[in-house]
Amino acid sequence: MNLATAARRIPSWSLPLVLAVVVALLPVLGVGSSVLRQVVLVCILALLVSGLNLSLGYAGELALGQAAIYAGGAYVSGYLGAHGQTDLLVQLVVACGVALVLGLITGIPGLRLNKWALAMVSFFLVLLVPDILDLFEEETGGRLGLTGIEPVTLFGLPLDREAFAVAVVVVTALWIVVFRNLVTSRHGTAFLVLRESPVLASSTGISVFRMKLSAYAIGALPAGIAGTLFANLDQYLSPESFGFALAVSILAASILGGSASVYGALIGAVILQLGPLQSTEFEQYALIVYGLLLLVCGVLLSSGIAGIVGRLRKKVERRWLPREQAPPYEGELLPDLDGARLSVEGLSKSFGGLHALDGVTLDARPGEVTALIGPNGSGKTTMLNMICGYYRADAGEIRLDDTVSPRAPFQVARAGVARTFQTPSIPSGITVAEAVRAGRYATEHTSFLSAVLRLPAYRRARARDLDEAARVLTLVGLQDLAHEDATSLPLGTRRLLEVARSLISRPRVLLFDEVASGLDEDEVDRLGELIRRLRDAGATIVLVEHNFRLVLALADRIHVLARGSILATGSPAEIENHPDVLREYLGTPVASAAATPGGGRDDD
Amino acid sequence: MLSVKDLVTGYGDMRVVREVSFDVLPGEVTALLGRNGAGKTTTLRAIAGLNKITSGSVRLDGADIGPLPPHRRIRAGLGVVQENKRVFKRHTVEANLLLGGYSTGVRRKQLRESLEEVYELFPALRGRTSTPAGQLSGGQQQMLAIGQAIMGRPKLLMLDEPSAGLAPAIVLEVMDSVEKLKRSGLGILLVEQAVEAAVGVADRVAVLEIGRVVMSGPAGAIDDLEIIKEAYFGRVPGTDAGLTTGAPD
Amino acid sequence: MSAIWAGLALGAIYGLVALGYNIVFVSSGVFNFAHAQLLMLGTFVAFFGTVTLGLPPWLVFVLAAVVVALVAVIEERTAIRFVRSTEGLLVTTLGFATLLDGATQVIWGGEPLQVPFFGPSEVVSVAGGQVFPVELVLIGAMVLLTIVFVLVSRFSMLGIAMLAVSEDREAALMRGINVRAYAVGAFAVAGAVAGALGPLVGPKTFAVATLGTALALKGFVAMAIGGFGSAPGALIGGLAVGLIEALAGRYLGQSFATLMVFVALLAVLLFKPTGLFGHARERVV
Repeated sequence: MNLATAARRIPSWSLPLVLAVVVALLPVLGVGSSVLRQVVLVCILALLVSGLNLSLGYAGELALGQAAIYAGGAYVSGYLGAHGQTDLLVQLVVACGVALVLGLITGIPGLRLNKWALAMVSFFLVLLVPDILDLFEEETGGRLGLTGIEPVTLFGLPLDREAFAVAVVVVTALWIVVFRNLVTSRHGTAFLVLRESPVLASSTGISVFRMKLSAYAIGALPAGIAGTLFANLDQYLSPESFGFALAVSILAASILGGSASVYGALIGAVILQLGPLQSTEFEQYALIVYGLLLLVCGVLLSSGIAGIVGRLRKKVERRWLPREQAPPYEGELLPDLDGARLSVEGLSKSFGGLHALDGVTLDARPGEVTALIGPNGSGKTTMLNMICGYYRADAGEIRLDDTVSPRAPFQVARAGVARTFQTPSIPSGITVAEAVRAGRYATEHTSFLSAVLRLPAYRRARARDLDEAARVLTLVGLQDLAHEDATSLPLGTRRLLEVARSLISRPRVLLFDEVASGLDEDEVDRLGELIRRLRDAGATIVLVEHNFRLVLALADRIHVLARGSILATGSPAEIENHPDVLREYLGTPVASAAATPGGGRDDD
Repeated sequence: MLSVKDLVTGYGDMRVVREVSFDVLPGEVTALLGRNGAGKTTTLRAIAGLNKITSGSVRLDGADIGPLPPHRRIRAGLGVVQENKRVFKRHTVEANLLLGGYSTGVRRKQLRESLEEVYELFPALRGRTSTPAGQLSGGQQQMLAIGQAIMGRPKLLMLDEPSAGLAPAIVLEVMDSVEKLKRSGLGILLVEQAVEAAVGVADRVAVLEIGRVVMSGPAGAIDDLEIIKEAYFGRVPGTDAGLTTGAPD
Repeated sequence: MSAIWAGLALGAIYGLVALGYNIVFVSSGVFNFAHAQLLMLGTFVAFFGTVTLGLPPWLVFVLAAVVVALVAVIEERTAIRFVRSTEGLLVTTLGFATLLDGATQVIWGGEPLQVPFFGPSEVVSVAGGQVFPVELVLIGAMVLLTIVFVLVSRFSMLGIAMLAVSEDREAALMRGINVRAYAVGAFAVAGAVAGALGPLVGPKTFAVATLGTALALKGFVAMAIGGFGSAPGALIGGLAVGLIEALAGRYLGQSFATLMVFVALLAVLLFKPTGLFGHARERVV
């Protein structure tokens, strides 16, 4: 075994684990109480930041209410502590429950609103903290603060300052493990898909609604945990600890450390806690520092420190630790596909006064390539979007075999309709293989819990993800690029990646939207070959294509759309010589039309 | 007047147009033909400054307009009618037209004269000056878009698929106005899918295929539309018949 | 009635923030979180000009307008121009806002500073309620600015061009409009207006560094109620927020004032997301 392979075998979590153990041992080694306090504060901030990272960095949702959820967790724990319930675990569980509720409440508007509105609503919560504390003055102490919190215990044993610090480090480390296991799992990729585009997410069968709610809920948990820890640090709470300065510092730490990373939260928390947050005398300067951090990082350093480290690591790996070429895929490359008959009947759709589709009837059968062609603006894209469930029909029906196609886009995808996009839609920050595996997210359901705990069910699903990804990547000829950054690929390759992603779920209907545009001749030939093989395997293939040659060469049947209606349907030979089609493509013959004023009437 | 030489452009890393050259002369229509995806619109966008020019040059009356930002190209005498009738739908017809002349820096009073010219060219717009553009029919919106461009007093007018989605009778009307504008001395670059409509008014023709000019010359020389049809539909892979006309000149 | 007057005056300030959001939003499609901080900066400059330098009122207005316009242009150049994504813009405009919070605090300290009003300061009785003259002036200024904004956007070529830019940037470019210059211009104008309002807002709110964020959020509520991009909407929305806050504070208790504004925000966003005067945008997949 050579050195490179050995180095690769070292798990990426070893260094953080060693660090966590060292920090957890600090109190035992007898460091001063001021150092311990800093350690606890870093942990608390890291928890808050990692919650934000999940929603902002992974799910792309601007939910900024962490400071308010933190306050909720802290006051509930403080209230329990002041009323005799001092057990740390009990407090943690209750705080998590409160956080979950708060996270959902602030998140719900986000299901309907644009990003700005969600950001403002969740930010507004921070403004409300002092007022709400005032309303419950008896329980919270109002503006004067909550006092009389009893010292914390664990299983009935009191925790002294050192033991408490150890507990804080352990709790934080455990959360980081949970967070890491979640975002490195298939769920993490699904979040990134959601961040890239809700349209893409639903086209792979991900329920955008469920996924967003999960992000708000899970992202709120660490804020609740942090609240419990904070309440027991000084046994005193005051509204001032939960203001805008804190909210902004959480965001600054997230951006600085890198929002879309596991350890970025720690990096950001350490820097801010040991830097500007260090001393209250510098509070006014702290705001300037946060402001500058947000400004500079927002403009120049979009992936934060973790992003820089990640890029460096990749460079090092590429230079000194070359990856062994994966062995070629052994199994059957293209098993039979169970194609479904897609039939569209009398479909109409208007936008405002414009009839985009007007009573369109067409069908696509298993084992055939059905092409949909037509000039610009003839309604091809609208047709595709309606099949996928993005628009609701004014009239008419879409069926898969004999059942009416479901309404929501993610349900359509789960019913077996897979598609590619005119402009390839690929999340940033993941590899080719991960991007392809994302297409299988809904095919095989695994729970969040099984991913976090790496249960056997999750491991089996992941093994199948890997296997299937290897299969479809080999099928489209991208197996050697599996570990490349997906968004850095040239356009033609990104299209093939989308084809692979659409194939991995073993779909019943495949919709290819302009899949050949931007490919070079060689790639078009290979793609044509692949489409023929898919057809022979039994798939139902719908080709929306500008490339007339490719259509003539591949299609079994062609539907020609013009101004929202079907102009002609037939075999390639029939369509090629169809007079109406020629006229639609080439225009009204000016000479003959000029001879008969108001001519071309026969066109309608 | 407009001279495009060895133009290379595209979107991001996708090169759509490769070394395209053609000229537009004053009082002439040059039609840029080709099927969907051949690179016609991309060429036009590059000339207008909406796409980055990777290499090659675009000259208007001898001056290289390649380095200018889009709005400066318009002020330098380029009139653009984009595809899909992109008028400002919330503004009235008259506000749309006045906006077209806004960049000329001319006072409103003088703009009135230009307005009159537009209404003469498109009488259908005259009665609807205070109608929001969004309420016009497709044909009227297309006329308004052309009118807007004319209000900028261009030397060269570029039209992107003015016939798309219009009823045949309206297409005739639009092409008729193109003919009139040409006679007034304007140079016109006409991008069209509708070959026969375009060839009817064109003096010169350039046919694009996968981002290259595969055929160009005076429109009169193209007596056989079959040649163009072939450029549109091309050869079918698997058959041997290639393009009869050929290589980039 | 006194509570209503106080609410309307407060609402006028929220409306002015919303109007500032709108000017920038319409011309460059950006939601500038820091606009409230620009208004806040205006109050500080007003304090500086009036109290520290002892300048005559007209000069204070000019000074505040120029200084804040300059800061707004700096914001456009640093926090806006190079940022594309919504998340990115939120981060950078929030960053700029925080920077202004911190900078004003460092320069002028954390204590609220009283900005003297240049006009009469005795309470007057109007329509059965007690009201400060400056409050009436604020309401008047808000109404006046709304009218000016509507007139400019309807009838001047500049306004027509601005709306054209907001509808279709590329088509506007193709009509020879310098879209980028409009974006900078919008920031400068919004900044100048915010600055010039400083001497009016300061006497009501005091000049204090914690003013910005609360103003920003309530100004956002005003815009949400009125509808994104609508000037009359900003006026109505602002006054509505001010009234809700004042009346809830008066009758339910001070702790309910902001809470009820939040409830109003949620209600509007959930039941009428386009606001009262907003345009629904066509959904595009």
